[in-house]
Amino acid sequence: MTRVDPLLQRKIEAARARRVDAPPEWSQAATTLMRFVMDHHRACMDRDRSAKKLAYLNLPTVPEPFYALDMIPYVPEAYLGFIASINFSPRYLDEAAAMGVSRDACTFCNNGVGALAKGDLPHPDIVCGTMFTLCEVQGKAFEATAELEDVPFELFHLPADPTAEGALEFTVAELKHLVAALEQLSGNTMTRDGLYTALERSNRAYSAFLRFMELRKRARLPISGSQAFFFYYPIYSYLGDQERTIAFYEGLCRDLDDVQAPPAPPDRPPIRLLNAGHYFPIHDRSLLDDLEQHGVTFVSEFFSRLYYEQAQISEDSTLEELYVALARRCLALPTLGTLQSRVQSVGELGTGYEADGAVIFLPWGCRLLSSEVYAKAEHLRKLGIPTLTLDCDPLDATKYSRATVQNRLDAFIEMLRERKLERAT
Amino acid sequence: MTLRIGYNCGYTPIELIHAAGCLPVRMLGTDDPSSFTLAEAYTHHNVCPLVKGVMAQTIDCDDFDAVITAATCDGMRGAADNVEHFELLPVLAAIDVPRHVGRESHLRYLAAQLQGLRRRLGEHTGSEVTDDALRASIALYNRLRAGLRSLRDAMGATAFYTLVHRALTEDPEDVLVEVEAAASSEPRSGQRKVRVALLGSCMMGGDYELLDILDRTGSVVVADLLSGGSQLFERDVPTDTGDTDLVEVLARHYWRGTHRARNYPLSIREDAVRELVATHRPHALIHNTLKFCDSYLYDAVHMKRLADELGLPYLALETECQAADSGQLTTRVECFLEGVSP
Repeated sequence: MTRVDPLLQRKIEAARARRVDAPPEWSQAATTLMRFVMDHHRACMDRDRSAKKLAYLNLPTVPEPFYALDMIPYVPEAYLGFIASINFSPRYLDEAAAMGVSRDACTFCNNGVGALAKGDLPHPDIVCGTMFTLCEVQGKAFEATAELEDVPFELFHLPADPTAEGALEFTVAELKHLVAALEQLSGNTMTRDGLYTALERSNRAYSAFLRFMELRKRARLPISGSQAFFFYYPIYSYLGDQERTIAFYEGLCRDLDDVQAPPAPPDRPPIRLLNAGHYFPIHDRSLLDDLEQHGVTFVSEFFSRLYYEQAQISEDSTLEELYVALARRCLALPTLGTLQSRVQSVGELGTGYEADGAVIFLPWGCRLLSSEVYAKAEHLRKLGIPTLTLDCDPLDATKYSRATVQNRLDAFIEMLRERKLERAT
Repeated sequence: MTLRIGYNCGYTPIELIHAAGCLPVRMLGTDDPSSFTLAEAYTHHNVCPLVKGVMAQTIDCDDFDAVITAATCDGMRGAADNVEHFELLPVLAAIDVPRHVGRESHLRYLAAQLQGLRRRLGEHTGSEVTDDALRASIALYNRLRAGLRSLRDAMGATAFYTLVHRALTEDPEDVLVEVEAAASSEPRSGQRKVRVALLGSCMMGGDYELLDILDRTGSVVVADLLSGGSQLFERDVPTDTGDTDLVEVLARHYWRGTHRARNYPLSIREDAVRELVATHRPHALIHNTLKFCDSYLYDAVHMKRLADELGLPYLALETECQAADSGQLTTRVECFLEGVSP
């Protein structure tokens, strides 16, 4: 059976208890999410290693070939994000530092390396890293992970410029390299039907996820902003079960259709915030929950755009056409391409979700966002969306002051509320 | 007047720029802290000093007519994005350097981009980059490479790497005259203690603190695998390639001959270190990473393991190109060298 650290077990139970006590108007699907994440994690920890092969992959790479080859795609980030949110990261960061990894490297990647070294992640049979989907550092951390576990490392390079000549052909070639490596490891052969089924299911999951994102445009939503962050976990890699992922998002949408949030008091209008930065604030859920108590909700995130584009397939698609469709979906990732396109994307989210303000959460180790922060902030301000850039790395207690972050957020929100009341009158 | 083309990455074939009648100028940043402040108008402070240095060189700067950028890490990609987004300078090309050194499709992808660069250089200058011009540029830079190779033992570390950086930023014909004159002089004499090999991130322009310390302690830098170091001149660009397209020759030379932490597989870099150790017999390895350079921060762990395996003392440094860390750096390096037996 899975060996679970007693302290971790207590923290999980405490977090689960909080879910049970959640206000009744909140979505029921929210209460099932943690179970979904943990079920998947435990199944991976307990699996028979001689049966299905388990592959690490970094989001938002391409989980479909893994399902088509009857493998288990495991995205450590989903579990690590959850673990981080219950303040369990410091011990992993210490472990990574003890291995010689600098504390100046990305804390999230260090978190993963430390967790694996501690034995709190399942052992992979192969590690598959993608470049330029989110960042290069993930690829390096995965390379270190493969070294640590002495398993093959498969690199999947996505072109930085998806419009470049030959980018599509290059991506298709990369997919085929990946599939060849997976076939060799799993002993299974990629079939047209297998890949079609996996893509058709992921399209349905994307579709339900998009509907959820549309519902978040409502004035008030019966889920908290901090919960909404967590609803990304299944779409990363479908947590080992594509059908359960589809059912989860469809259930979530039904909940949101059925349940109405209570109206806000007129003298205290709700504040809608766009997270134009990193996911990292989810790692201090108490901070987000406190904001929620004050009527502040995060209504959308830049990274949601990673899951907007479905694979264009039909029942007549050949295997080659399915590879091309998957490659096109990869190339549609907003993290590729020009800074201008990402800046515009953030602006569209800000206006589309009628955000009162935007916060760019900037974790210590994220070089990609660090380079983009001013261009995005400038654009949002031009659109009339006040923007706060916040250095914020709740994973690492040595670099995070809750009071300082709260103080800056409070001041920003106070300004937004005054502005909103003024406009209303 | 010769057009000055800035480039930010060692994968850029300088021969191609030179053959277009332009002067290739490697953007290596400076150790001037005020340049970092300038860059922080566009990028957050927690990116590496080299990225900030490169950014600073593109802001309010008359040094370059255009730049060629390369996405070699998140920071550099961000810097390139900002140059384009804020229209700081005309961008002739943004090279997406593929990572898998053993994969032929990656080489073809890079070669295709360099063909595009050749076309754009021609459009920018108004005259096509001919094969003859390219052959002449390759020959010139090969002479420079040979000259630099012969100089390592004749100069102190700071003087030597200053010359390497000048070869990357100044008129190659002018530097070649100096290099060939220096090569004919007597080898350096004096007390020599520890033979050191340097690994790690790019050495920034003017940031020679570590080299100064090594010179002061009488140590000798016998080899390096630094980004922006000896790899640039260790091997000549092949000239006996028959009918092979010259741009493809350049693509293969730069891609396979340049060992960067971001490249895969790791075994290639490890083999390069083994070869370096076997050839140059250093007494110790020093791995210097620029602060916030994630690729090398992760590589430093692998290299420590390799140094242990090779039985070599190993020092991992993280530097920020700030005068403030000078004292600490001196103490650490001197303490380390005290414990190394020549």
